Amino acid sequence: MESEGLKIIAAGLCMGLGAIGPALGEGFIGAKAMEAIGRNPSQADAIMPRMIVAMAITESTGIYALVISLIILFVV
Amino acid sequence: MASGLLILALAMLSAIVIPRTFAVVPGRIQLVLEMLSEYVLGQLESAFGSKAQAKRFFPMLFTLLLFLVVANQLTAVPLIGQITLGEKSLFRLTTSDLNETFALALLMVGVSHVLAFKISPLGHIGNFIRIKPLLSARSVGQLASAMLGFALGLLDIVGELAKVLSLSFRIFGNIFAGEVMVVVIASISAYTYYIVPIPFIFLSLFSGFVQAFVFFMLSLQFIAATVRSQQEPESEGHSRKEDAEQYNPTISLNVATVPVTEMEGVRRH
Repeated sequence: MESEGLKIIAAGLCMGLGAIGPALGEGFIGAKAMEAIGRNPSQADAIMPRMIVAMAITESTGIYALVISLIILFVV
Repeated sequence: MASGLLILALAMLSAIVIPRTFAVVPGRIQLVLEMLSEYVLGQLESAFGSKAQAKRFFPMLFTLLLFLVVANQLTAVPLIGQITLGEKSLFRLTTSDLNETFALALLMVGVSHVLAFKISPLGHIGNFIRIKPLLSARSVGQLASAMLGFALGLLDIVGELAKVLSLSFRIFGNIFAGEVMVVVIASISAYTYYIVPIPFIFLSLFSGFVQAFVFFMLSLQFIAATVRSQQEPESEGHSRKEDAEQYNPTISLNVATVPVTEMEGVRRH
């Protein structure tokens, strides 16, 4: 196989596999935050920013996958 | 590149023009600005733990937040992407360029380290190169834990570098991915060129807000964590003294109140 095709497959695999973890993590965080808000709706304003920050931190592994696949596509 | 200058020019213009409209009875713009700044001040206060510190860092972090919020929404201005200079869009999003986000992240993490270094130079270096427990180890077990601490301290240096990388790549990746996604959706076929990208544009606008907020929150946490880690020993000792002075009254109060609440609890059950 040509190296160009391998690169494209590698970038696609990297992004697809790398998106699994953050997706699960963000799902858990969102579910737990909804649970917490459902249990105590008056705390919704305090929970929301924390949920967003936690999600952003969880997301960073997905962003790393994106960066790696961009590097594979355009740099290597 | 020019979009950064455009935002700076806008910021300076609004800094000159908007304060002239400020009055005791707030107008619309003033109301929004006051709400936003009060919210940010509250966040800073809860992170730094003191109002004086919060006011000290407020200008820098609030400027960062405003800059990122405006910079991420620049594509919402119609036709601004069409202005080109030599086939390159002049007003493309600043945050979809890694140079800009990397500079911002480096600035924020650098500020946190410079401040911590200024408060206590040796203490801050000692956080990363932990020689002190190595020298004061008395037994084999202590020596082993001190060596482990030393290795972990060296790992923390890598962690600081990773902070810069993850902070810059996070906002860059999100904004860039939003742009690329809209372009990809629009270029799939002729049918998806007009209406189909709209939800994705909304999504990228929303993630622009969220990422600006996240960048602000994380840099706030980094700065607050390093500054507090250097200040904690002094203030803690101080508060412990105060606690010791007030210890007896509170304990007697506790003794007086606890049985009553317990009895109430028993009655309710």
